[in-house]
This record gives sequence, C-alpha cells and structure tokens, in this order.
Amino acid sequence: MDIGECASASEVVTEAIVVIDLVDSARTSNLFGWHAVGRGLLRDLRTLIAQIGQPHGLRCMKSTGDGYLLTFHDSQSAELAAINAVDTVFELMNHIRVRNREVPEERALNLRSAIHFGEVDVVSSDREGPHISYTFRLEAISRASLPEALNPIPPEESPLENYVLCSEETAEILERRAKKWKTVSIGLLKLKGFAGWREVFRILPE
Amino acid sequence: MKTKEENSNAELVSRPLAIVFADIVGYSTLLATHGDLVAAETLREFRSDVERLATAYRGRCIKWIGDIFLAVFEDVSNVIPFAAALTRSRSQQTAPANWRLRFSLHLATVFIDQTSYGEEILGVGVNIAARLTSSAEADQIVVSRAARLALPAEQVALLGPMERVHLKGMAEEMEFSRVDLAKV
Repeated sequence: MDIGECASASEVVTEAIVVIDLVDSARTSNLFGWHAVGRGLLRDLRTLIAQIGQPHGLRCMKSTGDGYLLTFHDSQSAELAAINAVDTVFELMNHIRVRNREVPEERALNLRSAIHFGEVDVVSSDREGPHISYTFRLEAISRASLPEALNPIPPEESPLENYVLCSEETAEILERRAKKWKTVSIGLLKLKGFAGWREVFRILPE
Repeated sequence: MKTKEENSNAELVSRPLAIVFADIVGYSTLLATHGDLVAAETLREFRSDVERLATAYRGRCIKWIGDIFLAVFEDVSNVIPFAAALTRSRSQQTAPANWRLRFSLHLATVFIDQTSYGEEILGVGVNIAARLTSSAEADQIVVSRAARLALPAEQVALLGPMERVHLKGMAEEMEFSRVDLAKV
C-alpha cells in the first residue's frame, strides 16, 4: 500500500507507532523564517523518512505540524513491525548525522522520537486510538520529566535531542527478538490519561 | 548492562527504609468538579499538611507527582499512625479538601542519591510500593509482607488477611494486607 493510502475506516491493525518531532522547529522558523528554513527542514525530514521507511514497512505517515506520526506494518509478523520501526529511526538518525555535517547550523535536523506497539484504527491517511495517544505521551517525555519519575536516570544522563524512547511493549519485543538493540529504563512515569505507572525505556545500539 | 544504581553516585543505605506512597482517590473528578484553581490551592494546603505530619512522625517527603507523594520513614512503626493522622486530618476538612486517600507501605533497602533536583530514592522497592497503591481502597493502607514482618505486634493486629496481587514487572505475586485507617 502506498504511503497515505489507508484502508477502510473499519480496519483495525496491529502496528508499530512512531512519533518523530523536530526539536526547536518553532524557534528555528521564528528566527530564520518558515519559508527560508523551517519548511525546508520538514520537507527534508519527510523525504528521508519516506526513503528509509518504505523498505521497512512504513504504512502511514501523517504530519503533526513539527514532526510526523508513522506506523509500520509487517504482514508476516506483527512484532517485526516494531523492529522495522526501530531500524528505520536509527537509520534516519544516521543519515541526519551525516547531513548535519554538510549543512549550515540553522538547517540541522535534530529529532526526538518515541516508539510504541499496539492496535490502531485505520482512517484515511491517519491512525486513531489510545495507542496513538500513548505514543504522543511517550514522545513528550524529556529530561524535564525525570524529577517526576520513579527510579529515574540522572537528568544530566538524558540527552536533549536525537534519542529514541519506547514503551514497555516495544522494549519486550526488542529484548526477545532484536539483540542489536538494548533498552535502558529511564524510570517509571505517570502518563496523562493513562492509569498506573508506566516504565519508559531508551533504545541504544548494543 | 549496568544498573541505574551502579551508574550513579548513590549511597547504599545500610538498613531498610519504609517506603510510603499515597494518592487522592478520584482526583480527576475533583479537578473536574471544582476547577484547577481551587484544586491547586487545596492541594498546596494538603502538601503542607503532609510535610508537617511526615516530620512529626519522623519521616520525610521525597517527591510529589501531581496528587501522589512518596515518603520514607526510618522506623516502619511510624507509618500507620502517620497515615491514620493524615486520613483524620482530611476528613475534618470542608469540601473540596476533604478528599479521601489511599496508601501503600513497603519495606526495602534503597539507594539514596543527591541529585540536581534534590534527594532521590532508588531501588526496586520503590516500584513495588508505587504499584501496590492501586490495590488500596479509599481510607486504607496496604502493607507488603516485608513491611508486615517488621511491624510491632499491636500494629500487626490491625492488619486484615493476607492477599495476593501480581504487580507489573514482578515475576512473583506480592502478598499484602489491608488496614482500615478509619479504625486506627
């Protein structure tokens, strides 16, 4: 299925969900201009995501204003979609690292990203459901969230950009099926709208 | 993979600490009914009450997470009297501050770390105590088996029968008992 072409409104699928946010995009657009810089950054990001994501099962890509909501699907194994999503995000960050060395500082791309896994409703060029909301909550976690976590890592050990967080569900899949990635708990957090304590992990290359 | 305790400069406390969590039952409903400003003001007064009583019972509040607090006590026998005093204090307030609380108590060896934002308590026991809170009803404290074993006989007599719960992240079921704080 082409990106953006989603199935009927009643379809429910299990997918890996990724939220990618461009760090400081509003500040960059305000300082250097939306048409001069901001728009180009988002377009570059979109192009890179499409190029890298499509071979990894990217099924839906939706703009969130200063980033993208992505979903990945694998018809052979739902869990493999999570691994494909992680592969895509790290490959994307590697491309961006090279790209950032070649462009002026104001055109650098820096990302925050979060990966979750669960059932979603397929709607036209979009996805809905609590697992989508959950992924956005994960993506909103930052260094500033750590004082409100239980068993947190020290805030100074948490990067401000270019990191990948994931849910317990994703961490379990990676633990079982992808030894090239390791997950490190950053703490237990309360996520608005979701009951109980949720352990949040950072994904790192092994 | 290194544990968080190994990565930090945490200092191992040589004896177990009593770990207490509490939250306000139905806090979201309170917010919706009375609005943010009223809830924030009454929560501020509540925090002051908690700090005062924790100090009086020789404990200390480590952190607040919205309507939830984490406190530790050197002496586990001070926790049930603290929780009962706080419950009585709330019941004497007029609405909306007369909210009902639920507590959990666990005893574990923890690591104490001085962080950039203040004192931090680290260890699996913190997660256990936090997740145990959801087993409590309003005006109750749930007490883990480890904490129960350290309580004086007169407090053990207050405990209900042992129950079991499976806590996320734990391989084995946890045993706990309830105390009806209104009867303490």
